[in-house]
Order: sequence, then C-alpha cells, then structure tokens
Amino acid sequence: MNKTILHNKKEYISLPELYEKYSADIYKYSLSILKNREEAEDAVQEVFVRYAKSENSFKKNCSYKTWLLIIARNYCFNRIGNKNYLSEHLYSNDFSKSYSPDYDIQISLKDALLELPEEYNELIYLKEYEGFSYKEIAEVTELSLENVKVKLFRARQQLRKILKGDN
Amino acid sequence: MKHYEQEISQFVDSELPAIVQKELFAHLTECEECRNALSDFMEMKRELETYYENIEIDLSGGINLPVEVKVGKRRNIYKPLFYLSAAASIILGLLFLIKLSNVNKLESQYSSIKEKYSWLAIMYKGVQSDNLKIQSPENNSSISRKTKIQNADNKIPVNKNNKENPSKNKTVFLAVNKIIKHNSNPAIKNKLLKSVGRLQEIKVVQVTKNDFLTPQIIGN
Repeated sequence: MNKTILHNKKEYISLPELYEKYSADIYKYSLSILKNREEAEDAVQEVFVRYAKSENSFKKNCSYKTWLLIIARNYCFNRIGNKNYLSEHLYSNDFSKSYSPDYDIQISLKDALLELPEEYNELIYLKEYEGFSYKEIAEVTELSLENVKVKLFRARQQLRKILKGDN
Repeated sequence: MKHYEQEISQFVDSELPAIVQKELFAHLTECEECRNALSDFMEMKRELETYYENIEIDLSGGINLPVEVKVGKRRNIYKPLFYLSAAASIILGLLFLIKLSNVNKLESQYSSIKEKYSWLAIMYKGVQSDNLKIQSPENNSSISRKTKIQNADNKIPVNKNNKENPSKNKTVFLAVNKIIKHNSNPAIKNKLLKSVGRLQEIKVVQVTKNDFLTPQIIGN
C-alpha cells in the first residue's frame, strides 16, 4: 500500500518540488474521476497552476498533498459537471467497454472501475492507493466521517458486483 | 440473520474498533456469505493497489505556468510594509516632539527676554516720570507727556526713588532698543515692540502734593 507521505505543515515546499513529488498521484486521482488520460493530464496542469496562483492563501492547516487533491477534486468534478464533457468523451476508447458481450468472460478491473460512479472511484483510489484514513478522506472530499464509511462500503459492494457480473 | 458486510469493509481498512472486531469474528464463524465478502474485499484491495501502481504516466512535458504566476516562494510584501509604516510613524512622532521642544525653548527664551524687558521698562518709566507734570488741586492744567514735575516751590524735585542719573536711564532705554533690534526672532521682536508702544502711553490718574516726590503713575 502506498502510504501517504505528509510533509511537515510548517515546512515550505517550492512548486517544482511539489510537482516532482505529487504530479503522478494527482494524475492517478484525476484519472479515477475523469476516466480519460488526456483529461487527467490537463487536470494535473490545471491543479498546479491553480496552486501557484493561490499559494499565498494556502494556510497550511492541511498537508500540501491534501491541498493539491482538494484542488484536483474541485477541478475534476467541475469538469464532469460541464454539460459538454460526456458528449466530448462518448466515443473515446477509455469509455468503451473492452469486454465482449459474452458474459462468461470476466470483466477487467479497469473496466469495472469505469462502470463505477466518479464519487465511488475517488473514494476507492484515496483508500486503496493513497492509504488515507477515513478522517483524511473526509478532509479531501468534505464528507462526514460516517458518510465516508458508508460510501466506501457501497463502492466496494458495487465493484464486487460488477466484477462478478451481477450488475 | 444480520450481516456484517459494512463492518468487514471497515475491518479491511483497519478502521474497525476492537470491540466490534470480536463480534465480527464471532459472526464469521457462522456466516459463509460474510466470509466470502471478506475474501472478495481483501482480493480487491490487492488488485486495486497493483492496478494504480501500474498506471502509465507521461508528464514529461511538465507544466506551463502563465507568465504572471511566479514560481517559487512568494514574498509576503505586507509584513515589511507594515514595519516600514510603523517605523515612519515613530520617526514622524519623534520629529514632532523635537519641534515641540524647540517651540517650548523659544517660548522660554521669549519669557526670559520679556521678564528682562519688564525690568528695563520699569527703569524707563522712571526716566519718563521726570518729564510728567503733577496735577495739584490748585492747578487744572492738562497733563502733557513732557511736562516737568514741579513742587509747590516751582522747583523740580529730585525723585528719591530714582537714584539713577538720566544719562544712565538713557543708556538703559537704548539697551532695550538694542535688544529689540538684535533679536533674530521676528515674533519676539513684534511682541516687544508692541509692549514698548503700550508702555509709552502712560496716563496719570491722580496725584497729590504728598506724592510729589514719589509720583504715583498708573500706566497702561
């Protein structure tokens, strides 16, 4: 499990250093929500530009990574909320199902994740890959602790059903 | 039978309280469905970790920051500006206090000069008193500034209080003018000149024969 490395909140980290350390994670996180590589790359660009512009307003009451994830989350969900987003990506390969209609062939994990709503994908990424605690997930997603527990359980439940072909 | 699938999800995340874990383990011994759920959640966890680790990333292009965005530590300019304005306020305050003390100094100089002048003015009055005519009940003539003081014998008495000789009084009078002339502060000079002007208008109110030697002069 990839444990999150939280920098000392009082330690200043320059933008290039932040990019080097967290760009990959921001990319993967954005990909889990946007489900499109090009969009995820754009998201990384946008996240660091927004961070650079709002650097002075970063009050260091959370870690740098958490702050970047929050910026990424806001950007990604706004992007999805854009009414043109679906029509732009309707025929993209990332959205096409890669399994055959033969239901005996097991669906891949990647395809299963594509089936999940973005909100569930996000929670699974933050927990399974970033290793965030429920409290940290609540900080990024602005959900309550109880809500995180319940939604994460539902995400796992739905993923399990998709993988088993029961969806 | 109640199932513990949500508790299993928390257990897999290491977020299940110890006291609930005991209940869960007890339930797992009896419920195959929950055992399958635990097994599936653990398997998914492993696969998801591998999946995310193996995602290919190509961010070699880096990021293109807009020109107006500065890279690196931004200096907070407000703090130095605050200290600068505070220092400027302190300096201005000190300058004001210094100026105030200078004004007080000038005021004290003026007061000391005025006091000195007052003494000189008293002596000057003494000089002028020699030229005043005392109006006796028998004599209704008007008082003129340069009238001589005459006693009943029409002799000019000696002013016993004025022990200074006229030439010395004249010297004092000239000294007063010299002070006025050489004082560099125009405000003080004007004040002294006004005082001199007022003192020159000396009016005699009432005198008697007994006051002849020491004429009572009430000046303005």
